[in-house]
Amino acid sequence: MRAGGRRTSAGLWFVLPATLVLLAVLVVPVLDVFYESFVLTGPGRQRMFPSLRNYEFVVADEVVALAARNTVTFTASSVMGHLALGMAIALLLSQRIRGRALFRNLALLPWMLPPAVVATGWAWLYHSPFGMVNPLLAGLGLIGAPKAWLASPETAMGAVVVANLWRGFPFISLILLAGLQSVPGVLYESAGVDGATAFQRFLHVTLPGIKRVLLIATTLDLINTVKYFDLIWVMTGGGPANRTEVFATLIYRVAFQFFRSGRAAALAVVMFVAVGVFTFFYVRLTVRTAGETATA
Amino acid sequence: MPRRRGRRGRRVAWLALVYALLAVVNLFVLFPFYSMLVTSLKDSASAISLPIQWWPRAPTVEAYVSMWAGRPYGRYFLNSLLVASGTTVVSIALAALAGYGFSRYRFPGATGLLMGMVGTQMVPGILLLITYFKVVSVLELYNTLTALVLAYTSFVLPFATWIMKGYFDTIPLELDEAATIDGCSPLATFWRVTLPVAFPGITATSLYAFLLAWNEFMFAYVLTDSNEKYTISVGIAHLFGEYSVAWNELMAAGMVAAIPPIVLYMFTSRFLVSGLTAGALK
Amino acid sequence: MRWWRRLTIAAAAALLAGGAAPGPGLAQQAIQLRFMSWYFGEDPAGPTLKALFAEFEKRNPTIKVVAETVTSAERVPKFTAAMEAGRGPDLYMDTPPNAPNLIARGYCLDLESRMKADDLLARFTKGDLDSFTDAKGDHYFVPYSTGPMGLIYNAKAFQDAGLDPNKPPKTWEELLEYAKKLTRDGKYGIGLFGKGDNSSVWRLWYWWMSNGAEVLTADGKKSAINSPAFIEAIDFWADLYRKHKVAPPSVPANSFGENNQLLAQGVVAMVESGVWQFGVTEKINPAIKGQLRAAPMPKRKVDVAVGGGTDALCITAGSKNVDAAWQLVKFLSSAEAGVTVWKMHGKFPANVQSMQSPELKSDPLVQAFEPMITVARTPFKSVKYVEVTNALGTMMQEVLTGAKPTPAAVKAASDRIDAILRD
Repeated sequence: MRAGGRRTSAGLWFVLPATLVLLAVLVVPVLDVFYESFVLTGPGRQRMFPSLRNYEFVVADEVVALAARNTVTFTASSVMGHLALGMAIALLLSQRIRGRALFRNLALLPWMLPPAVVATGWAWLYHSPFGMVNPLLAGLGLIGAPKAWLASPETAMGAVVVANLWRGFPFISLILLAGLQSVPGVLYESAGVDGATAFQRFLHVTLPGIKRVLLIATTLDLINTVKYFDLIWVMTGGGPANRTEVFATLIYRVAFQFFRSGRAAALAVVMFVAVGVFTFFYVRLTVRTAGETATA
Repeated sequence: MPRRRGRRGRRVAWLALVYALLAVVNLFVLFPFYSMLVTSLKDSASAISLPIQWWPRAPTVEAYVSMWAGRPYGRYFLNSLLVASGTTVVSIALAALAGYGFSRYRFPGATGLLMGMVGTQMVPGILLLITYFKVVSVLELYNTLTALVLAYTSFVLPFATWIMKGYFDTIPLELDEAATIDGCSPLATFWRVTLPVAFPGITATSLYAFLLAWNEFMFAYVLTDSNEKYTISVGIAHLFGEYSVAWNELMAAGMVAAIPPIVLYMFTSRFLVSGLTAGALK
Repeated sequence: MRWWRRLTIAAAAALLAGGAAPGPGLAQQAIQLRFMSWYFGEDPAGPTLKALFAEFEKRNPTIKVVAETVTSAERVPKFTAAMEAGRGPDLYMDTPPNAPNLIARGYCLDLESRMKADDLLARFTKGDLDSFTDAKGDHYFVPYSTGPMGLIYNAKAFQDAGLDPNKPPKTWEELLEYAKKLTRDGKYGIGLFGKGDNSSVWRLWYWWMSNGAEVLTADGKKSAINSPAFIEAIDFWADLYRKHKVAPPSVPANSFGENNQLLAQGVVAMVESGVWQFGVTEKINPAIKGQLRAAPMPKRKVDVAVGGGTDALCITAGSKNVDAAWQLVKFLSSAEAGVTVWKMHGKFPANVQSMQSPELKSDPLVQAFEPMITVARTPFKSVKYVEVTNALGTMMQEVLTGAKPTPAAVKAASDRIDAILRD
């Protein structure tokens, strides 16, 4: 499947432009931020290197701890929700029914919206008293008085997660649907002949068949959600009282509102390492499975 | 006879369930769109009046008219178009080359390099922004669309390279070998032989890159600071933070901003879905 | 010819051509002053400045003023980025919260000697001037417009509730009483600012300043908010929302933008704001014109008004046209320009002599705000202003929503401010 040894150097030339660009826009900044995390800045323009004070701050500060907890909550609930919703919809869409293409396109609509539009649209939905969520829930008898969903510390995170579920499940369902459709129909038929129920077929044919796709989708979603900024920043700005402050919004605030570049850098490095743990598995998984397919 | 009817009955019940569930899903998907649409058709007073008007008592398109006076949306769209196009062209060109190289050639460090590229996914954008913000100031690229295109390659290029490699892998090597035997140089083989065959994959990847760049928010938010350079996402976000939030105008702006990606998708969904999944899953 | 050779020759030719072209500026006489402000994105603030520029250019034909717009929220990062890149403007406009930081970073020129030489110090109140000094007391910014905050109320709503619009509330208790009477039929007495952002915290200052509390100790090194006076003030303010419900349920999400709508649509009858509130509200709902009045906020223990609404100009350290910029600064802060500021912009000129001019003196709005202007001051000055405000914003939301009991929230914020100031 691969060219012989004669012109292997040509391969290097093909990948060189992309590699150089990525070196410049990715590797250099990472090194720079890593360096900056050991610089202590003072009032005016003082700089002191090296210093561990930034990392001391990261470890000791209570808002950082809160942001870490919020990030975990937000990521876990978003990813699980995406999976559940995505799986359910992928299953529905894989059925042989009329109008399947239409339903699939409709389900993809949220994914196409610019995130700022998603954020403002949902902020308006949640608005108290003029948004639609309150009268809807009141009409259904689910709540008594209108609630300020985005402005109450107890409900803000949940409200943002719901908006993120809406925005993010289509992409996951798309990937899962493709995975479902690649499971050979033969397997289902033989399970049917053996008298398996729909649920048993799901458990023993579907799930194993899409295991790899499931893993890819989950890891991809995990990585992207941990880094997530857009929706949260526009909907709540990290509030109320830091209840929706996640790592990305906190770093933005520290870097571009407080101008504490050293602290922001330290926070970014910590976040990078955390994401790196997940990505390590993702990279190993995708390249290895790609290797499997290639040699098949 | 009874057995067949029983099976038909089960199928009908099953179908009804599927349709019902799909209806619920679609209600969930469409509800925010409905809210945005209805609000955009109200005047500014009835948008914030109680009890809520589920359909405007006096529907009007004044929000769609007045929004243009308040903000240069035409400019925002143009900026988004320029940045997304620029990013796509640059990233696809580099990704196609690199993907081809990874797919067709073995060279020392290839696996490591590819793994590294894919691994860059994990770098948080906000981390890059800390440096970008400093660098663009020094390079006099602050508040320019060029800076955005360069910044966007950081997340578009690795993913595009990966998909392109996957796509090239599906093209038989014999094609290249035939061209080589005929005396084509590696570049000529790539340009004249393999690339045309990979057109669907290129299209799919380009569309995905375009969408990624179009919907990007955070980099543009930090690296631009004037109405002349805002993309549509940033423009709307700033409108949200304005000193006077006119909800009907904000929702109208959102509806208008949603049109280009939806239109783009409608015309290209065939390519997008098949090309993406082919590349991503292989 | 190989394609890359063609390219090299073309590139060389282009470079030569570019270098041989006559450079710009040699033939130019006019000096260009770049003026950066968020005003240009707002109406009527922007047009007012531009009208003044036009007048200045008429009097100084060799100088041209170029307007550069930034958004209000992002002006500091953008200005900082421009200055760091060496392409900052000649003049920059900002407010008391941001000035200490910008001065400490060396972006602004020390204008002390110029102000003394041209006798500019006498033009402004001490409260306005003090916000823009460095540690030595040298002045770096020249005030342009000023904006104390008072009580803006809807006279018609007062009448409908049986209250006399000529007798605005004068004590905290009266304010509560009035608000209760005004709260009915889906309307509320007072619009509070609970979002926790800059605008909201700014409106909170009045409550503890009026109760005699302070934000920082006199040396500016430690927090002073953990005091009974402060806690009492915060509780009273929060109770308007929590206990008495004379403010809309959306208060924790409301800031300037939201309350503008609420006031304009008659949903709230009172807000704490500055004179600019009139122009902004009337723009949203022209029908409300003539219904709004202003009065000092009710007095508690200390006669004080919240200042900090002062917009001032500095000349940047990188400017190559300092003398021309200084001419512009002198003109913009003159008594004559001040009259234009009031008439076109609707905000008070910082120049106290303007306030004495016949046009302004007879204006009832000016008369209403004048006592506030004399006692207006900013609550604290700090290089870490943004961070301290952020901590106060968090506290304000915790108290409003009941996430933490007030004493605990205040103590936590106080400790946090100490930590911010320490490092």
